[in-house]
Amino acid sequence: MRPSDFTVLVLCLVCGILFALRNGDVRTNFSAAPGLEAPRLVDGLLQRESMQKTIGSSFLCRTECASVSPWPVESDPRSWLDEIGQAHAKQGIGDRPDAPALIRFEGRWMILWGERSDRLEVVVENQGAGVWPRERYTSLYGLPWWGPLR
Amino acid sequence: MTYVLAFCCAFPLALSHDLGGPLALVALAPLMALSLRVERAFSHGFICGFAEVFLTMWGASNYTFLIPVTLALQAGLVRGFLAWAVAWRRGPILPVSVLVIGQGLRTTSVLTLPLSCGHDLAAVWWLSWPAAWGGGALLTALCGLVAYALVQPSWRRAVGRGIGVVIVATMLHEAVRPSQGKEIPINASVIQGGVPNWVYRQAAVDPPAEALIRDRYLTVAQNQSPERLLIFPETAVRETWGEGAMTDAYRALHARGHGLVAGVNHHIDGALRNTAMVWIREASEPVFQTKQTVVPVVEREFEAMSADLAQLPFGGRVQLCIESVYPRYSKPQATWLLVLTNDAGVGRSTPRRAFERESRLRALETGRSLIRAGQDGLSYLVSPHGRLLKSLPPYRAGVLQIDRMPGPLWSLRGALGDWFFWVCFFGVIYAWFTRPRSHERDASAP
Repeated sequence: MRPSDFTVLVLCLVCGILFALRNGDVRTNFSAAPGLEAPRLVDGLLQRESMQKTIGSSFLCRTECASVSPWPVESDPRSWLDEIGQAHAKQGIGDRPDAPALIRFEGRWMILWGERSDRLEVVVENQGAGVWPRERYTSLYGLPWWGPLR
Repeated sequence: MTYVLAFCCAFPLALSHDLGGPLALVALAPLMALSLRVERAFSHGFICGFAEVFLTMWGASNYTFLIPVTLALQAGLVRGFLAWAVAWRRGPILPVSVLVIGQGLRTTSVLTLPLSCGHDLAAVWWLSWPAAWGGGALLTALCGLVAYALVQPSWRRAVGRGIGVVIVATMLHEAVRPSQGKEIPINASVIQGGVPNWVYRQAAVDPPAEALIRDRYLTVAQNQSPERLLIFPETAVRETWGEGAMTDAYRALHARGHGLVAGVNHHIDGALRNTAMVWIREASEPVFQTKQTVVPVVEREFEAMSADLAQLPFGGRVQLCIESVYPRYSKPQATWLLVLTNDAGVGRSTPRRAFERESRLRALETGRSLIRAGQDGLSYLVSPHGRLLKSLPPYRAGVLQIDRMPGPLWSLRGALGDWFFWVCFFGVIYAWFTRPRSHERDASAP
């Protein structure tokens, strides 16, 4: 390597270090406001701590739901959906659940609330509300689902 | 080892896209110097260009992996041809023309992106003055010329003369360009929510996040004086028009006497559109201008649609986010320009700063004052000279109060379009058929 090459290399590396320093935190989520801390990844679900308390009945409730169980207790959720004011929801047809839908997933219940271009907005039994990467949508194919929810 | 050097040559370019300013004038020099010393100049340039754009785009996490790779491949080709043209040693006209043409082609489609050293100059307003008559293409050429002069000493005098001509022409253009209208009494309040993107991503299942968005936009709007035009960024509140609290709030604001311009999602002709809602104070209902081009992958919920352009007060025109990155959407028929953007979508990464400079460049090229309303900053008013007149700091909530803004100025770039880009095709033909100068020295010579 010639001395001039070495000089150029050093200058380029200095630029690289400066670029890295300025962009080191670009994928960091920052707090949005006092009391609204940034979400963290918990068992594959991106959520804030307070979102872990979200349950199905309170999230979907359109009537008075204080006495309703947090999630369906039977494999057929229709009576539970009736109780929370979602009587219009029927068992879905087709492999791909249409959001918003209630889905039986890996022995738990989950609500697929939104299917977006880059994410899935979900509420999962025993995990709470949060955001899944969109790639997980295929893992919901072929599962029993009920919808549309409102 | 030379391929490692080619990779490292991408660092000054990436840093230039991040910082903007005078670094852009020399950022191409390492690549040009390397091109003169290696056998396979094209492949070295390709590696440099690929790394330059991939590094720059990497931080825009919402753009997934596919978009940075696609853009990096294009950049690799463009830099590859530049390196090849430099290695031909036929003087600066061929490489500079190839540089400008490659850059121009990267502004033609939504599948491309004009990350450019030349456009980086817009970070310093007086450095970007030549864009008023030559456009971003001329700025790109200036960067190429300066870098070439650094690595080819025998051309320094000629390049110096060329830059002198550009400076004189720029001063002359500034001195003689006529005004095309009076100062505009816009009386606008531009609302910047300062809401990071994660809040939007989970607002549907996180009530406090949803409340923050409404608080930062709708509540703040209610505190503005009724005579003011309210300007909200692109999709400031992520609800579909016609249903929900956002629609009610906007209707209530209009009923109070406000004019409104806001990015809203709206079902038109059976598909969800990303639109700018323009609701003039005197009108009974709003009009919607659809986004004419949507970002692949990131905006697949929406469908693009070209429809009539909405007219803003005092003859202004609105652009939605990425439309401002492509010069063809900036019409000089407008008396002022408004850009609504959701810059929070690319986080705090380099593309965010590069995109923002494109808005300043549009103001310069068209000779129009431009207001930029960003979800998370920068929100600002830029003059027809490209100078920031008022701005809000990024990542914070605030209201930018703009009472008046400079009237439109004539510009050669606005009148003739991207003429310098087309001239560069003749540059390539001329350089191709011209014999190289016999006294051109090899920069790699000891």
